Amino acid sequence: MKKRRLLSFLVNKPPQRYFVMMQFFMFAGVMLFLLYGSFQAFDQFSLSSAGQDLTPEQLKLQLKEFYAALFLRLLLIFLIGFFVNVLMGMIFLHRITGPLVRVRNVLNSLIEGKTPEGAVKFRHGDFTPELADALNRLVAAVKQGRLVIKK
Amino acid sequence: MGGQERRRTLGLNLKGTAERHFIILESILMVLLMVYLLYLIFWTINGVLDNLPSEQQVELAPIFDRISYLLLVRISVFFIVVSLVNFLLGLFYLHRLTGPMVRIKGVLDQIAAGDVPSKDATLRKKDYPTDVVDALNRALRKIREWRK
Repeated sequence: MKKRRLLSFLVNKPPQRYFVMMQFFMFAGVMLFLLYGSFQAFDQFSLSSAGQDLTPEQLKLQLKEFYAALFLRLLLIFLIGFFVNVLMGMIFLHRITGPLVRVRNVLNSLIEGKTPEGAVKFRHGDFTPELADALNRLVAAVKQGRLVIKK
Repeated sequence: MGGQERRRTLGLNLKGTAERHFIILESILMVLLMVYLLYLIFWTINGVLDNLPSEQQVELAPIFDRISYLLLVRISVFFIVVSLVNFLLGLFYLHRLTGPMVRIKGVLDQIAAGDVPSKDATLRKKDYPTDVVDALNRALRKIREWRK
């Protein structure tokens, strides 16, 4: 039981599946761009030094320019990767937190004695539509006044 | 959220605690990833060059081939490890959002079935949607009042 609780965050539900897929494509994309960017920089450097006979010490000195170019390329790839990842993450989170905001608003209306007109619906693509069904059943029960306090 | 702010943020909420924590988590991960990757690339290149005889002139093509091969292998392994760490951290983070949804749904189902819980709903420490649970508990108290 304790072991199950410890690893319960690994549950395979739609939000978790989408998150893992999203992060997989994101990291695969960053890695491909990164490998492409670094090998392209490396190719440019090797072409510029082709035909030269250098000692390892001389090569290390020449590599300083390559390091600077590589650093700039990596920085650019990581910045773009970071912004795309944050944007995708925000859109993903919006589909989780949106329904929660909707639930909170409906509950606040119920507290004020107002019941929503018609069924509560989440946006298309929002996660946990079953939460809307539960909320609709609650609203129906409140309207019918068939609630009993359970001791 | 006002109309102008919604347009600026594409309708996304960037101020929520969960969203802020996601951005912080991703920033830290990306910065660490970049710093360690740069270290890995420079360390690989220097490692290959250090193994060469220092005073002797060398042919560059086989050295570059060796460096490219090592970089490909090491960067791939590094990315697999980072992806796994990111999956685990992300799932752990998501658990703090989706866990309360299951809990809230359970309480709503219970009330809808006609059984109003006599105790307030609680979340685990560090779970995110505390405002929803607060609203749920206020609604519970109100329903108990109506029943009296």
